[in-house]
Amino acid sequence: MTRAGMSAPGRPLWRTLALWMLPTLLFLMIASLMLSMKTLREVADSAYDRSLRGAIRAIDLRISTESGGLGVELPYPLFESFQATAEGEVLFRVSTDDGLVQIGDALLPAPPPLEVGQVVFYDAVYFDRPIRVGAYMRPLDPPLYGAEGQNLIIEIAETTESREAFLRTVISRSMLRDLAALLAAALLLAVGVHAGLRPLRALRDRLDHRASDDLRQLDPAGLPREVQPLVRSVNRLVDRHRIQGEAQRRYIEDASHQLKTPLAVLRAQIDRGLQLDDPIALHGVLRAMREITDRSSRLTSQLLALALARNSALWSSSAAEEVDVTALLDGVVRLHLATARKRRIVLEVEVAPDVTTVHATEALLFEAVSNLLQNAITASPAEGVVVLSARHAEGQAVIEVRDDGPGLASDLLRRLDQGQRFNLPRTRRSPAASTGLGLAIVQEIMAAMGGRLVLANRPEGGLTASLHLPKKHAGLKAD
Amino acid sequence: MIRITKGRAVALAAPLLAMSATLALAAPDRPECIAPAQPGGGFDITCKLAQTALTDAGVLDAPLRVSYMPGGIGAVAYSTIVGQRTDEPGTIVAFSAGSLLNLAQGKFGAHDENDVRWVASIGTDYGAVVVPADSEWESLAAMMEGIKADAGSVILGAGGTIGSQDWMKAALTARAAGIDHKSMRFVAFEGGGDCATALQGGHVDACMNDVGDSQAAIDGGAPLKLLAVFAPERLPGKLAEVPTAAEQGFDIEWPIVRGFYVGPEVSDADYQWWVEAFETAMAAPGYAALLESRNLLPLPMTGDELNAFVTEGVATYRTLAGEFELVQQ
Repeated sequence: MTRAGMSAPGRPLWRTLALWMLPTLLFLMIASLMLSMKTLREVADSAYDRSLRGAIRAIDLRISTESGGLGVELPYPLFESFQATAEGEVLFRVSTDDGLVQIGDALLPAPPPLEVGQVVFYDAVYFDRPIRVGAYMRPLDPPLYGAEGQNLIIEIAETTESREAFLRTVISRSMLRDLAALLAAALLLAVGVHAGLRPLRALRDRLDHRASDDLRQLDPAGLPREVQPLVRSVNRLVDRHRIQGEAQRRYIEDASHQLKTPLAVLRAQIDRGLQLDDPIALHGVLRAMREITDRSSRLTSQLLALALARNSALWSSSAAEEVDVTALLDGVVRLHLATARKRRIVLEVEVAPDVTTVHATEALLFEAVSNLLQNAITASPAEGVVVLSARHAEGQAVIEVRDDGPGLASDLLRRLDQGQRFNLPRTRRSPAASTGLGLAIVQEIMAAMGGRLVLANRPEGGLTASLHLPKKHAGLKAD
Repeated sequence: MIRITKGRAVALAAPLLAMSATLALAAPDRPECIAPAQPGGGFDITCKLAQTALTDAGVLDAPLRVSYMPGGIGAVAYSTIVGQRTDEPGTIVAFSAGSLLNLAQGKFGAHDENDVRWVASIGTDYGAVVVPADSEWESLAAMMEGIKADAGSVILGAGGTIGSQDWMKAALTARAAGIDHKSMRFVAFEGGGDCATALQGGHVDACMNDVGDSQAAIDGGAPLKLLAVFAPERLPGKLAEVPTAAEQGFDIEWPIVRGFYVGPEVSDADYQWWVEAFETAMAAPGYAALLESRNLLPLPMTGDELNAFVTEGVATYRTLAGEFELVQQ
């Protein structure tokens, strides 16, 4: 039996269906069989009783009172034909209700009270064997020897082997038939499921044969209705991947565009410098070139960091480790110390005593904090204070960077609150403020680590940028 | 030595003839003998014996008519005679020891032995056990063993139901063999004739009948055999080969008197006529031969002698019935 396209360790669908349906069917069958057994018994009894009734009539015809006495023509030839069809023995008794005459099997049990003209059937026991008796009472008209109101009682009994055998046959046939039906149902179920899931198997084949970069939508036509939502979800996933792929393509386009501009400017500066003879002017050109180069390299490393963060989803979680928070923050501060000192900005580090390590990828976390510090230093006024802190809050590790700068526009904050991500700006007019790119990098890193970037304007002015990290983050795992 | 000359013989026979001639003249019209069972049984033989004997003795010109009135082994006939046909002068009814046994148990309705007038007994029979000629039982003991082994599979038949003399014979034998008589399977027939028919058909395994009707059936060609007779010693003639029950370890005797009665309202004259008719018939020289041909033994009683016999018999049977808890009344 094929697995109907399900993954290997999963339970086959037909078995699930069978486990649901078949015990119920079996229970229903047995219940209906037990209910019909009573009916079967009654029906069998009425059929067999009919022949008893016939035998009673036949004996009645053989009774003669012409002689003035009561003579019964022996019914044995009748019983022989009776017994030929039955499996047991036939017994009879003819008697008058006053007990004077009794012919036949003397030890048949006494009948229940009889009504004249009616045949009564009942079960009894004869020499430890179950028998079925039919008893009939009719008036003897004229009564014998001048008695008043004399009745004749005719009783015929047969052993019940025949009936029991019949009942057993019917019941066993019923059971066999029901069992066969059950098996057929199971078989049809299996075949039906197999056939019903064939489109899924075809789909599997189609998917297997796709090229790795084929991101076309799957056509749900021809699939069972229950499966189409699944296919649509897959399509949406594929779509998201396609969109992301396009975003990445755009990103590469933009990145190369971003890099092209400073290089073009650099080239222009070089061209100008080549035309200069004045060493001082040349010096100026060289300085300008250095600035452009610095900017470009900064841009390049940021682009790399962003790509790294975006691709971190493909990394295994073995890159995550316990990172010493204090050492990390100190490292970041050391990196930016020179830049800060140029504008005489003070950098402070506050680490809460209960924070020792966080679970993260050190390089990415370093990059994130570094970007935040960079932004803070850029935004901070001269001789301002930028504080880096780390603490625990609500089961998460929080690393904050606070500055005294102008903060961020409130509608930008609002959009961020609502989950909007920073995107690469399509056009970059101002080379100075690389805030957008930096924050985009931080967001990517946080997403990869399963954390969050929270930005808030400080009441006393300035921005608080916090990184919320789960104790053990679920990111950096293969999907 | 008296020489029997032809003349002397005539002289001796003359009074007899004269007597029978007288009797024949006073015979009732349409004489009838009712055998209260189906044909072929002991009552049938009794009536037919009377028929032959009375005609042979010249008592009746036209032969006695035999009719049958089955029902309760004489119960129906008894009640009919006592209740309806109380004074028919020409009707005699056959009876046997079995009738007396049933009377003793109150099975003849509300009547007892004093409700009819007992006429004569013409012979005695003995109970017998008869089985098919090819039966596996060779003796009464073997049959009892068979019943002991599986009471439900042996079907005994008899002319008469539980409590009748045929059943009584079986019960006595069972008691002697240590079997509970209540556990025997028993089918009642209206007379030994029906039982013998069923025996031949294989519907019963043995019949508790009488020597008379059984041997008559065997003589008639029926494939039956007698296992035992309930007589004090072996019977003469062709029955000498049949062992008695006593020989086989069952000390039971069952003689069966066979005779006739008439209705209670029959006139004394008619009653006396019948008595004399039977006396004559039984005294006739050919009577012994008739008895022998029917496998009966002589037991001639009439009138008062018979009455006394009947009363004593009924009393004896009453006691016996009490032993088997059979008395109803």
